[in-house]
Amino acid sequence: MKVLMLDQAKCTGCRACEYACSFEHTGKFNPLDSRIKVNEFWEDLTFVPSVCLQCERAYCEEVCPTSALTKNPETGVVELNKEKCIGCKQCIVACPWGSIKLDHTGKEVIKCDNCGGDPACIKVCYPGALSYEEVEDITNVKVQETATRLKEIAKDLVKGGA
Amino acid sequence: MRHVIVGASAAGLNAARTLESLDPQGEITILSAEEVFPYSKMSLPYLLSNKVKKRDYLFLPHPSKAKLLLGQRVVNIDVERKKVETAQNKTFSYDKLLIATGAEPYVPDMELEGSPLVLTVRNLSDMDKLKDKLNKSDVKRVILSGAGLVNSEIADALAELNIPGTFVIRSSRMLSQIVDEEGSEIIAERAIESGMELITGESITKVQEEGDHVNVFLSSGKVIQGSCVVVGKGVKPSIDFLEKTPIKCDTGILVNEYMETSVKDVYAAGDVTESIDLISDEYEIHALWPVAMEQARIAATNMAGYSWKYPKEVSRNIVNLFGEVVFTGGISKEDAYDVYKEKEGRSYHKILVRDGKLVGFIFVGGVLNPGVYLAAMKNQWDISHLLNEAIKGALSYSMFKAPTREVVNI
Repeated sequence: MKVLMLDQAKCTGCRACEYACSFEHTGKFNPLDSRIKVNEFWEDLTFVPSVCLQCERAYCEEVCPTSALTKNPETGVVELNKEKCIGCKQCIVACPWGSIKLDHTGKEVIKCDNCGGDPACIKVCYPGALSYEEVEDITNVKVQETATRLKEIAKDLVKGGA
Repeated sequence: MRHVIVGASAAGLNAARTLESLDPQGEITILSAEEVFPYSKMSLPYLLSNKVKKRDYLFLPHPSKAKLLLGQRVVNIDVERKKVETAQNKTFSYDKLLIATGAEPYVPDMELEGSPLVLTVRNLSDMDKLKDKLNKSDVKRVILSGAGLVNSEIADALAELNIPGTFVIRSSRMLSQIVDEEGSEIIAERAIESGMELITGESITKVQEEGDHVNVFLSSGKVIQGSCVVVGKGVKPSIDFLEKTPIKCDTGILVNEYMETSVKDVYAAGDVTESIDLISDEYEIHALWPVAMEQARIAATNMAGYSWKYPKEVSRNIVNLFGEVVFTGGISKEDAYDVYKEKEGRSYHKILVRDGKLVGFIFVGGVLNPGVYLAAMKNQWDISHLLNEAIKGALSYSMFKAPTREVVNI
């Protein structure tokens, strides 16, 4: 199973992903129609991309009164079935992360669908903050990254003690 | 463990789903008073406007292991012997019991209650009756007694169908329970443009059938005609069957922070309960679909032997009315604490802030991430540095989770 992976440390805040996402889904370049959002913290000069986490037991899915939202067990994506959706918006209130949201008209519900397995956002992310990877690979990378950081801390501690 | 769940709507079924995963060996029985398979009550107005494209979509997902028994109306609970008795003369023994019987429409005027000319919106059969009246009546106009959430949603559905409606409102305005005067005004303007009529400061005294329509007598003596009367004056918890039990009730069943009632091993969730509200810190009825879902999940988790605390709830509503999204939460209708308002044409934003924390809001249009507002209010995050974003409807989750260099570096 592949998942969208975000590395906040690499995000430069260019917001190309937002435009790519909007274009992929609507044919227009409107960041308000983007499923991915780059949050800007100018005081800290830090940028944080955020996108649907495809929760295991998703709040949006639980609260949907017509079962229009369901988790696809194969892809892991929480899918929105437009045919079943009545537009009641309970899902967008239920999501504490704002990852399922309204489009630019303020009326349509939109959410990340991993572009059906070929995410547009990663293709334009030149700094490499976004990637689409197998869950197992990510786990290994994370283990190594954490170990490396802890090693540096351990080294500092040794130096401090010496 | 034998789990018995009374009621098979949002709360009952979500509790069953939770129990199925947390207590796979457990025996789960759901008793439903209705004869039809559980459906989503929240979607009923959407069924009227045909936004529910197929009737099948209304039915809730079938529990995979739990036993669902239809047509079993519970009449008493023997808390000593741990048995539930139904009107169908059956008894069910339990180790843990969940009461999720929901609420029923409140018809304040006894004269109107039970009249075939007066409809309420709660069950699937109510919607069928309303559709039938609309088809048969020579007068199309629908008389809406009360302009609360349900009747406003019905009016919105009627507007979609190009059917006129008349609100008869005892107070002076629409949605007076959740929206302030400024917000009401905009919504009313939109309602009128969509073919609704508003009669304020009046109530219905008598309803009389005449041919295929009804004559409705108002307190001022005025008589109006319609196809039927829909009463939407709120709901009351369905607790009549608890009369002979020691389970403590006020308007609804009083639950503690574990969703347990005053009787051990008896839990309650959903519209039937009263629980502590986060903002007012008092017992309140949150008759809301998502609250029912959450309460049920927590009650079921505790029935399975865990001890999860229920985070105090806040009232909130999001509703599509006459082409605009109306989103409210907390003590929305009041002007208390620090009040910030922004009105621009047909959009109206208001936030109420207490000690830097969000305690209420109204958005008539123009909110990007409603879920974040709710999260900010439920968690009482400090928004004092984000007031500008908050009033614009632009709060986003990561504004609260700003990464500091330390976090990035470690």
